[in-house]
Amino acid sequence: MNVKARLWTAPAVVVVGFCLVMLLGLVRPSLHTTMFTIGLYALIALPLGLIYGQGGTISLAQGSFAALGAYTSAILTTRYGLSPALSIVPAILLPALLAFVIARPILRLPELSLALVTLSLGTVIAVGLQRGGDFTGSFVGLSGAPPLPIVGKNPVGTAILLWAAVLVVVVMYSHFVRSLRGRSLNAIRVDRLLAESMGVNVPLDLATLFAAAAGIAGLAGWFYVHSIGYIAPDSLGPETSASILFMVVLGGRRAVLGPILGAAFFTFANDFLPGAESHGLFFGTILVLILMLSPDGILSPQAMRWMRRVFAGRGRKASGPAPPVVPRAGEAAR
Amino acid sequence: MSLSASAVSIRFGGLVALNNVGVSVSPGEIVGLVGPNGAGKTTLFNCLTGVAAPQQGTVMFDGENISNLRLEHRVRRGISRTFQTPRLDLAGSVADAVMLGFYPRLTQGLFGACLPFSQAQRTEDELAAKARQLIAEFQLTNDPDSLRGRALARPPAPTGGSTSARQRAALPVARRAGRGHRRRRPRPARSGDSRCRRARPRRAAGGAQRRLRRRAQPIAWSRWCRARWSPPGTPADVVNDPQVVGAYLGVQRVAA
Ligand SMILES: Nc1ncnc2c1ncn2[C@@H]1O[C@H](COP(=O)(O)OP(=O)(O)O)[C@@H](O)[C@H]1O
Ligand SMILES: [Mg+2]
Repeated sequence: MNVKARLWTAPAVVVVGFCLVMLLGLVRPSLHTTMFTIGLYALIALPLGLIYGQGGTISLAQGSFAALGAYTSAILTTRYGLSPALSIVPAILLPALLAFVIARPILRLPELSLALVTLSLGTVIAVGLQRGGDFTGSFVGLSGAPPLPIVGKNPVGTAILLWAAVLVVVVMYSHFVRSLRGRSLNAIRVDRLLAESMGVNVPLDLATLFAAAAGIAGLAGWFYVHSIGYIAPDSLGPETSASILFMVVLGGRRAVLGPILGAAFFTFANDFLPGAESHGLFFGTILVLILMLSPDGILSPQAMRWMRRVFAGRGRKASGPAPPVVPRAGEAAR
Repeated sequence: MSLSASAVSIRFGGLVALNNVGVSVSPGEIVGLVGPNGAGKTTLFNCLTGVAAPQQGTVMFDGENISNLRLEHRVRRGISRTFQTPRLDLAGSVADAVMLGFYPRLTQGLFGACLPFSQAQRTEDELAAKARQLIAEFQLTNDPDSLRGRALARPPAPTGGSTSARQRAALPVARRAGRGHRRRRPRPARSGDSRCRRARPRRAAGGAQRRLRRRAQPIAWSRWCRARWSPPGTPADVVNDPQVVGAYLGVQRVAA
């Protein structure tokens, strides 16, 4: 029962947190846009948390996969008149397919090489979109993408639709890590030979999850282009990938909510910090400090265990006065 | 229904670790492999299970040539193996570590594992219960869900003697007991290893006891002595056999 409850902790936190901020947004409407940005980053960062934090497979291509999804949808809707409700399918499938094809040869590389290879992959995608001539709008990008289906240009509706997608990903992620498949993914990270000796098809599983991560990034790209209406080469790309990795590592790569916490931190810090030049300095310092204190980020397994103990302790305290009730009830019966 | 390898040769650079080695195991048979350090015992197990790729030779399982299959595909066909050092996630719980052993029976895909209220989530409860049984049967730990799953790696409790080492060694056996495989590959014993005896649950439930207490039929085999004999006896008899002792301690030409 405790275990079952744990499956729904992260989704519950997301729903409550979202509702609170949206209510505050009634007083400060700019919070709705902030919430949209956080949700967008969270959507790209969550699957990276899964493949990196659980599976040990780093990727610095998430931003470019999002750009690919955004461009795919922008091209299909502006040039071919497709409705965004339909272009969502290729926006997810194209990055996923590309990721799946290239995954096999690269995913057996050690972490540092994999980081570099995915970074160059992201750069290749970015350069390709930049030099795509009229087809991709070259350095100017594409504008005039139609608004999102159902919610249109309403900022509250947009935020709700985006966070609904985030919630779906969180629910799936939570269930996945507590399943046999999730356990096997962790085994791949801890000890690949152990996973193989349990019968895990490591290359196929990693490639599938890498592709799923790219597909979800493509979905985020779809949200981006149809809510802003515009996509340029520097909107989403290698720089986004680096920020996304920062969010995952800072927030806690082992925890489901880690990437969301990282996304929230990054977005709020960006809003409140003056001068874009100082941002790198600030984020770098914060990252070094946090990782020195807790190598697994803010929501590290230790921190989670501590929180669980605190909550369990409170629960026990609450039920503490219960025992005397029983004899008293017995007395009453007598 | 048998496992056999023939003419297996493997070299690491200039070092010939196995030269034209053959072995066969028939159903119900328990085969041990002994020899001094560096004789190539682990390497042979690696060749049989697909961890190492021999330059020559074939490995047959149930009449199928599995020489070119990767480890995980051999495992799915029913071969399982343990390792010299227990492989486990020290940050995970013992329950999780044992449940990993159910993986080969898994039928749901990656997507099914993500969905709430799905078949995968329902079988999860069954597997958890089953893991709990195995943990009790093999006396692995009293706290299977402790996320400080170091339970198995922690230094032995003051009262428990060296239970920690025994439990750690029993974990891979428990993992495999959950699968109902036809054949279990024993971990290659280390030289001077007395722990393999302790690795057995002492007064565990009958099932575990029976699984581990079959009559032994070992092959002694090393660079120096190569003999096959079948004294029906207990593992203790085998361990004390002069030929086995000779193979480990490096006595050349033990009387056969
Ligand atoms: N992956 C490897 N690379 C290089 N040499 C190896 C490798 N695996 C085993 N060897 C060598 O092969 C020989 C046999 O080793 P091993 O099978 O571990 O012996 P045993 O298990 O009988 O003690 C040793 O000399 C060892 O150094
Ligand atoms: Mg060895």
